[in-house]
Amino acid sequence: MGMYSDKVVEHFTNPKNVGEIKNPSGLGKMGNPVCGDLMWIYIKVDNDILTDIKFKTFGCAAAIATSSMVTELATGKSIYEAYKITRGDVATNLDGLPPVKMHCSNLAADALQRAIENFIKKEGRSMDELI
Amino acid sequence: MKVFLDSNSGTKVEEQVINSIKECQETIYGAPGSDYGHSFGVEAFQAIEESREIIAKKIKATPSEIVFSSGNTETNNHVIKGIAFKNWNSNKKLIVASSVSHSSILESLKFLEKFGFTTKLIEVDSEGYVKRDHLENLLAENPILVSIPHGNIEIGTIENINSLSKLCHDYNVPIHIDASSSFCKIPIDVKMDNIDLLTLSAHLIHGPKGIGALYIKKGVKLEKLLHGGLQEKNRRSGIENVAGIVGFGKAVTLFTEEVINYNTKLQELLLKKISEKLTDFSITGPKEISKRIPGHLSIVINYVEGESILLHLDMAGFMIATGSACSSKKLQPSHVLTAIGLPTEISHGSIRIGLSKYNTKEEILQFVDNIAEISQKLRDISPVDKEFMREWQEMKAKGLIEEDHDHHHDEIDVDEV
Repeated sequence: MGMYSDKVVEHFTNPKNVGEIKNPSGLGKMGNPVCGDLMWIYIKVDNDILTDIKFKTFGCAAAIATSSMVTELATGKSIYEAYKITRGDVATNLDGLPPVKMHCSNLAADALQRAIENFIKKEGRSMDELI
Repeated sequence: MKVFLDSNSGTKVEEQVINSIKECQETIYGAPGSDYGHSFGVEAFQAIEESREIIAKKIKATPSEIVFSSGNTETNNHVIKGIAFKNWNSNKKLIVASSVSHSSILESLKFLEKFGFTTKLIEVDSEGYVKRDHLENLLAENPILVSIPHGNIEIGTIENINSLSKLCHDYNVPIHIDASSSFCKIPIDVKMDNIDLLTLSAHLIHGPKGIGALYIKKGVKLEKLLHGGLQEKNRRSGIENVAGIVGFGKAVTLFTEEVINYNTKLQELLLKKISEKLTDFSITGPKEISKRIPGHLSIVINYVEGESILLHLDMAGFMIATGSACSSKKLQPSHVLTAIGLPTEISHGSIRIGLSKYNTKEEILQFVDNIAEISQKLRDISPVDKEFMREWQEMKAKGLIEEDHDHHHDEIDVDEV
């Protein structure tokens, strides 16, 4: 598919974990309609483990693929491990992204972090825990 | 199965055109020379002149007013830089162009600004037509040239070049018309319309890529773009692409009234079916089919993004184009969509379809089913819907939107792209 790896194409055509969670433990939103990338990541946390994770994304193939990948990487992890998932992790697990599309992996990783931060905040806990 | 619906970017080359090119490459391979060379040179020269006559006749020009080139980009560069350098020593340094001109016009103008020339772009309305009162204001500033596209390849708009030409000549300003998207599809009469310069191309009429032509009215003067030999009556140096030129002429003879009618019929069917099956979309450019380039349809589909649509369609076997920022090298939306006032957040869902005589009714019907299905699939994944956009617009109007860090240009150097 031209510039995209097979893994990206797979995650784009059959994205994992699409959907919403009603009353999520945390919700992370990144992007806006003007920039053309919008990612919302919903998480369900039990005993600090991500037991469920869903996403909704508006954007190009890379945006959808990176959202799907980040949710796959985060499922079942503790909030501390999930928080450490980097932009590089997302891109590497997708067998790489074209340079102009790397910003999509940034968005995906950041959206997950925001979701976790949102959870911590709602619980009244300190952000220092995540560092 | 592969269905090509992107005939606004390039077209399938006609079989007869290919044969004429092949035959030319095999049998007419001397460098073209006119009366004073050997017979192979004369033959090549004559082959070019035959095409020249065909193209001249098509636009009601005389053959000596046609200069062959490598395509519309080269010819547009030639026009803009040629007229500028002709005015190098004068105190007139303003050039005016439509804000929806092709990038080969706009980038040439930008380049000339380094050398003391000024560019002013004519504003366009929401359908892509130049605003006449703005054009008049600019004409009063005494530009050396006005350049306007005849047909807009992004959004299908067809300008009334006869009336625009009259207006420019009322102010004694020469007019250049970029007809690369309209040639053969919309009748052009350079004498009746009093056109000074016209750009033509072969690539959108089932001719080869890499061939175009300039019409330059007798008496109009341009500096050369390419220097070297005396080819094309010393107006464009370089060994002529004989086979390409022969193919160009052939393509012109085959793009008949019937082809136009067929393309228009398919275009009407496409719009009809899309209107039946697709929700939440709008047409960009003129809403009436009769005002659009035959075979051309461009729309924005709400709540989904163009590159995603394009890739899904490609996997389903249908090839189209998009004007979304994500699909461009510089991550900018199409300058045409921006110029007609389409908000960036809407332009992401832009797609463009180009039909040709090789497309069939069945393909259109299947395509529409696919695009409706794909749009729905992407909407199911998207958090953006009518409600979201309404709320977002309200917040934007109140200045409540927090400016996110521009993540697009984090790690790439756009100039290296």
